[in-house]
Amino acid sequence: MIIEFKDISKVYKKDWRALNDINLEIDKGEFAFLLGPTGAGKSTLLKIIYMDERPTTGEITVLNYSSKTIKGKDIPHLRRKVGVIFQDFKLLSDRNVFDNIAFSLEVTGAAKKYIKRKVLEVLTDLRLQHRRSQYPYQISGGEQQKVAIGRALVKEPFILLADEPTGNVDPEGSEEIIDLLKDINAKGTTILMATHNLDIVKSLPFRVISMEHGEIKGDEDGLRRKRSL
Amino acid sequence: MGYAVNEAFRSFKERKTTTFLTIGVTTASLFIIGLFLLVTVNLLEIIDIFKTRVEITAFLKDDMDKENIEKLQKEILTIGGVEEIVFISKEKAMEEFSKELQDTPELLSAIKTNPLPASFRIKLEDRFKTKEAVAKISSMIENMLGVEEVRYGEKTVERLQKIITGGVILDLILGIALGLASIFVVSNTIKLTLITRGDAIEIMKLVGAKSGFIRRPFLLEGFFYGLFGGFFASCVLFGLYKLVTIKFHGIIFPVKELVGGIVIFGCVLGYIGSAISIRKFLKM
Repeated sequence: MIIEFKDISKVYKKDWRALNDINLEIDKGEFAFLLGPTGAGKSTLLKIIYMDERPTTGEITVLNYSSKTIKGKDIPHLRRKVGVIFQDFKLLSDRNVFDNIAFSLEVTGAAKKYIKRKVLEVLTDLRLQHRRSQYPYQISGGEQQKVAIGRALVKEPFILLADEPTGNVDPEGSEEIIDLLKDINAKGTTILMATHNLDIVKSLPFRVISMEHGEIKGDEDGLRRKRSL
Repeated sequence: MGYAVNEAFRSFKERKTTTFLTIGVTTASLFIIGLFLLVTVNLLEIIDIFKTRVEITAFLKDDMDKENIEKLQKEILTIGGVEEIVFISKEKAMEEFSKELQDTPELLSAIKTNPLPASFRIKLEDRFKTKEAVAKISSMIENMLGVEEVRYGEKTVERLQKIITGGVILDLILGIALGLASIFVVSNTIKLTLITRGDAIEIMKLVGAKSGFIRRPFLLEGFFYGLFGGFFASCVLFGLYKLVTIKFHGIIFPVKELVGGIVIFGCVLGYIGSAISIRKFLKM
């Protein structure tokens, strides 16, 4: 098990419950969808995994880091093992494609030579070599999301969290992003993807965790879905 | 460190307008501080000039012989606070008086005998140049045998004391207020530059950058804002000084101390301003 939620609740000001009594386990190498409408608590759940938010009650364990014992100085180490991609890509607008991806490794203090080699490798895998000198505003939404994926991948993460990764991408680009995520998962990375797009979920034989009003309403495993597809 | 320096300069290059404005605000703040320091230095100089004017004159009785005068001189020197004592004989006093009357020789020729008494001019140590101390020493001397009268310019001493007390208090209050205001202004200006980069800081945190790694380029940036601001403020201040001294002479501008002080204060100010502003962005 790579991620474990135990009785997790997240309450914001004025008693607004973003998450309520979540119990969930994600296995190593799994691909799971978090399905639910806007406001269901999907993003909060992902934020709790990369410890951008701490649970109000309960405990989460991610790669042996527990929310109860982790110290502020350890969070960067956790985040180097957990990649995150967003609907709005969150790229640095003043850096080109190459530098955006390299940035992930620069913060770890890696050697320049190593960074260059790794980034070129990732750019090749993503078929983005020709875009390496361009800035985010010069490329399409789909390509920007691929750069964001590259930035996560270059760290060789154990887990990749994707928060509505196709939300700002055209259908063709969406397909490419999903294929890419499947490939990444096939190489062993655990993927948890939040989405409200039922069509994407229906087309793939992966585990589906349904959320509503901050609670888990259903959890259908991938094998059973594979048979029904 | 190389990364932090590169990042700081990349930021200057990418955000020319913000950089220009921040350096402008820092320059203005440091110029005001520099102006204040310049006024302070000159105020202290004026106080020093006034202080040299404070002295006690003890007029002696006419019947004092040389031996008694020497004895009295030694006695006065034993009083705490007396720094120097100069004897002015009747003849010397007349000589000085004659010089003063050079332009009106008719007055001088009217004087047949020497009416001026011999005297001691007594200089005091700086810390005894207060109204109370001067009055106390004067009265001690006045009670000594052979002393006819003691004068010390009560008004000068009183005025001097008022200037020193008032001036120093005002100066200190102004200094503290200006110092705090400049920290406030500079740190808030730097905060504005950080707000525009909130997204970048968030991304840095997201990919696993440690707080120190995120902080370093910003601290360096703040340091450079202060360095450039301090340099420009010094240039403007020196230019202003040169302009003013065309008409008003005697103003002091200790170049090394003042420029060094402004630049160092600027660097510290920028660094601290940056450190204060970045804190809230780095909470994990």
